[in-house]
Amino acid sequence: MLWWTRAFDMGKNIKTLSSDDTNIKSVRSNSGSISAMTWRRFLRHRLALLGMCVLLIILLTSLLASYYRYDPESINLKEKLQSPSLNHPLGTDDLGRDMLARLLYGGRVSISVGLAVSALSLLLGTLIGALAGFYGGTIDNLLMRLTDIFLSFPSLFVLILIGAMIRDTPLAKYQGGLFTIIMVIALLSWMTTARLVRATFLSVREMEFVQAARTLGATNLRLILVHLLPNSLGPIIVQGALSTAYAILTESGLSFLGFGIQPPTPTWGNMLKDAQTYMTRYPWLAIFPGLMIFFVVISVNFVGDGLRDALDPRSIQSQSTNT
Amino acid sequence: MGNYLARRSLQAIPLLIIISMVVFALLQATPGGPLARFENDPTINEADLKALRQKYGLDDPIPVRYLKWVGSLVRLDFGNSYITQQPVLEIIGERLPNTLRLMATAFIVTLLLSIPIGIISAIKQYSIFDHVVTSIAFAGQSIPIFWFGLLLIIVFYSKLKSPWSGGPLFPAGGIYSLDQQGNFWDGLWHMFLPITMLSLAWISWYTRFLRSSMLETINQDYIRTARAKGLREIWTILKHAFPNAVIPLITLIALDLPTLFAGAVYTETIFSWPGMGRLFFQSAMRRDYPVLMAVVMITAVLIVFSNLLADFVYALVDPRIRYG
Amino acid sequence: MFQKRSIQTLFYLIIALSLALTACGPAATSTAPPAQPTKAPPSTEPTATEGVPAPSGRVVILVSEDPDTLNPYLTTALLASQIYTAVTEPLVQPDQNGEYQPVLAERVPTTKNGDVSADGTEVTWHLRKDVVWSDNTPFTAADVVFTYKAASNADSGSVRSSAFSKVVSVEAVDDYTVVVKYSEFNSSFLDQFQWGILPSSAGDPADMLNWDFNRHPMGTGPFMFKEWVTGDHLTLAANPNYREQGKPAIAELVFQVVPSEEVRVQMMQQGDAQIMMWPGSNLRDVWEADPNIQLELVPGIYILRMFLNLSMPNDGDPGPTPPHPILGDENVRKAIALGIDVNSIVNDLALGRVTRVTSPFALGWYKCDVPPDPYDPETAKAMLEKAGWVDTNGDGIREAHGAKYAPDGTKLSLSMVGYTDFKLLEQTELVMADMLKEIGVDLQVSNVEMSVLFGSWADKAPRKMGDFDILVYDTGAGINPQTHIADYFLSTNIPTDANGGTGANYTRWVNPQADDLINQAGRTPDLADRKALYCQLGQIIHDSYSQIFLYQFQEGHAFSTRISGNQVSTWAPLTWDVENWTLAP
Repeated sequence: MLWWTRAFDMGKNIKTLSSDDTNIKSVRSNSGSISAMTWRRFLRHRLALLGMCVLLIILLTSLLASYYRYDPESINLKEKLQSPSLNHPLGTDDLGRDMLARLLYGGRVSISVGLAVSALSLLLGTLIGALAGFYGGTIDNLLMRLTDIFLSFPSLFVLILIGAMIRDTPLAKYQGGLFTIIMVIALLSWMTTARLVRATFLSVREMEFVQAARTLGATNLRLILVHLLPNSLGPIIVQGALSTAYAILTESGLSFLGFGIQPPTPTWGNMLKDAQTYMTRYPWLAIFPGLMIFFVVISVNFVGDGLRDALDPRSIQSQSTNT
Repeated sequence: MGNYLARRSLQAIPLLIIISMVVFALLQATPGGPLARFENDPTINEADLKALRQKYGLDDPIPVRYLKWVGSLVRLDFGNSYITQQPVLEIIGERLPNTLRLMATAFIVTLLLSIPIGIISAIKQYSIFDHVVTSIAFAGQSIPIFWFGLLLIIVFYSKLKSPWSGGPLFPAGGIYSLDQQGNFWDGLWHMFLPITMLSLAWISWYTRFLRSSMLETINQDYIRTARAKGLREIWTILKHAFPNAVIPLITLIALDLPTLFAGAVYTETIFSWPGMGRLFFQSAMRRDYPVLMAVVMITAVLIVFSNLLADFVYALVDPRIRYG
Repeated sequence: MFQKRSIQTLFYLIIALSLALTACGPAATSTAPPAQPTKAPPSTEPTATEGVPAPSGRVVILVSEDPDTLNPYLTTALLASQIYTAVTEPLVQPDQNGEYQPVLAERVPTTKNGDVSADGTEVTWHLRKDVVWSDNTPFTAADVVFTYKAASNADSGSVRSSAFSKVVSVEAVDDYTVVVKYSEFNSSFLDQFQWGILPSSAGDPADMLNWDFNRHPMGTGPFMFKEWVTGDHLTLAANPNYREQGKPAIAELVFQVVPSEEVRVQMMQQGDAQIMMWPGSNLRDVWEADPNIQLELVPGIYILRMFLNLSMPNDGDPGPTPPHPILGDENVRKAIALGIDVNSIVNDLALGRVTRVTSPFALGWYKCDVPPDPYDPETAKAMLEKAGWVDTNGDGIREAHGAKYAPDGTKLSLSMVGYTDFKLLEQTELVMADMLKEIGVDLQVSNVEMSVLFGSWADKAPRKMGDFDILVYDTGAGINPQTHIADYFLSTNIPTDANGGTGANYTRWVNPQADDLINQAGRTPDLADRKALYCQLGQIIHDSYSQIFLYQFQEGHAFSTRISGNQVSTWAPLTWDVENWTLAP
């Protein structure tokens, strides 16, 4: 699904060409009131608020999972495949493990994968995009060619191949291959951020206040960190939300196919995989994990949308939910 | 612009070479091999396996194997499957029409639905229609597609029954029922659920994209000018706004071309659709290297090509890029 | 304006193209090849012969994936054998009781009827004279010789060539007599051509990998190949030239590929299919509730067991020394065995659909009675304590304090590796890990793909190199267990550089008494004597705890009640008696 990121870039280009400098300059001035204003705008976006609440609830329950009386890995063959009841609010699976416990712990894994992938890909993308945008010339060329190479890989295919490779090596033994999966998905999703950051850097680099800082003797590093980066922060944050959603969907998809995180480490994706053989007779095994993925992803999308509206002042005019 | 395109096209070649090398290396690094399925059989001894390995050239060092592969590639010979001994192109030829059929139909359905919905949603911004559409689109983008497929099967195959035959409302897999090979309606019946699964996300993306694109266009000055000139609303939209709103969509469509080929792994797996996605999945499991290399490389070529196409279209319609 | 129009044109072009593509239906490839010289198309319409009813009806058999090939000498896949058995036939075949019956041979060669020489090195096969191939050419001894040439040719890609390693020559004495000469007595001489006879018209033996036959087989069996739409289905049609009049009664066999087990179950319940192969054990209540379906089971060959590595892993030395720090001590191994409640696994997890076994000799004529160990976690704990494994830091996992081979402080933590995509296996592993936690043993369960678990010596696969702690998978002996037993238990069959990595003694178990018994059994033609030796061996193997035996799968399939005349056999694939099947309307 990375094609849409390119389109997003193009959309961005259209906007950049036709926009004026007002939003950039406004960041330069009183940064205190900007965050407050941004925050206020965010709060006005009702769906984003709803998303935030749902996410907080899910995060909280996942963190508090250890207080729940059932262990996600405790097997009890006599109680297998029970439908939801008072004893087991969401039923039990084929080994008698409590579904609610597995969902909570699985949530920990799925959400942390999403956040870790997002953080990693943001970091990588920002680094590459900043370098390319700032230095231009051959460095830019080289880095953009690198980006092109990564963009040209059929990502799902490559993920499956790498997933197949990982699950059969000793790496998979630790937490079901968690770290390697995180790295791999991040490695294939940093490109959007890179282009984003590069585009912003390119347009801001030539502006007066940057030139001014340069003549005042600011080092390159200072220019990047203090002057250029804050201007890209908005889109980067929005991109972070979107890539979290993407990461969660990708990880659960890979686990569903059997190439992601390996059992017995529970994730929502591999719980869905296990549920497949039972789904017509014991549908709750399939419904709940998918429902959780859905709630988390849609909440993240709402939040991302709210962030975009809050951070992008041009959207005030249309006040719509833009792409 | 000709220069620009020529430059981009030339850049594609080293790109593809690098991709082929990386994927080839990846495959070799994957543990297990195509001969592992014989390992657990006591009637086959190591001497047999050695002979087989020689026959497949599995003992050569990796760079040698790569060069051999490139050599046969130049002659358009993608080799034979390790598992079934069929020529790879023949295997792809068997699977590709199925994928195209599915994806192309889903694509058309997506366009037919998302364009009008996106436009109307933009025109009637903030109406109930708009809110409903946006919500559904949001949901559609957030739903895990494989879960949605499973739900579709649970509902339409297990729970709901067809009123006249008493059997399931929709079939849960396959491209056609036995004996119904040429039957158009049977084919459609089998395609209904997979297409629903595929197009949900697609329609959501395109609708939102088109909507925001339309909104941007509508709020431009020249539209206001047209309105001020006294043109009727519908004409204004259709003649002036729509073509310009559609331009970014064209590039989106161009970028989606590789998907028409690569298929959807999830859909084909859940609905037993014998297409390219499932071919890749099965070949990955069985370490059928020739098939895997072929599928990945063809997809990569398509991706590169579609990017070029998107750039071309974009440059064609936006003069600012052309001379910039 | 020009641009807009060109955009619109592009747009319409794309739509038109897509529409054109939709109009194309899927191509039904792989239909009957031109090589088949049948004049009339294989008949699915009744062509009655003299009062014998024509074959009618179609049986749909559900499978989860395509076979890789239909050439019996190029594959070991179980699925392929279910299909090609209906097309190609062997010389003799064991029936459901394990007794050999003649198929393409007139009689079973024995020493009594003179077809087998006294020292067993010469076997004469008298072939039936009334058999023709499905293209109406006669079946002769030349075809048997041809099969030998193709199967034993090292260049042909044959996976069965080692089964012919003792064969010195195969000669056609006349059109219907074949003499096979061996360098020494081959205890499985009856199985020599068990995979089927190939027609000499199939092609050049050295080129077997490229034969058209592999995707369009031709045989003497009750069915002939009709079409194969990869990924969707494979159809066999009744062979009008089959040697038995009036058989088969069924006109078509269709193997339909449906990867999703759920969907296969639904199709059976709807009556869209008549046979479902190897249904998961968790489905038994589904079949029991349905009056139109019955599950037919027989004891199966495959036994699930744990393989404990007796040698040090990851030391670069695939040999049996030095000993494994934890598993080298037989008391630890026995404690592990006592700490697993196999009966609970069999009854509560697998719901009685598998049978507990205690040695590799678990069925047929060589079934031995080796008494099972009780589930005794208390004794297990005591044994571990005595062996020097104590939990001093209270984390529930024992550490070594004065253990036989492990340095002090080593955790009693072992990795257990099985293969993926097999639900019951995975569940069994998790249950065992849970049980062993009680006695202070930590098991880390992880599964790898079959192709990786069963990797080769050249790939430096962990199994071959002795780089593992515990493996869990199923394997078993056929009707003649000698090769399997020798492979897995002879000390000379530990894969090392010395023997080129052959052999399946993955546990690296060395026991001279066992070696003796195995070699003796290989030289004993009399089955009763052999069985006595095997049972002695079985007890020794059990007591070594180098393999811990869990349970034996039942072989079987779900059949629609419309089908009768079928008999599921432990010793043969599904279609071994397909000519006797009848389908009620």
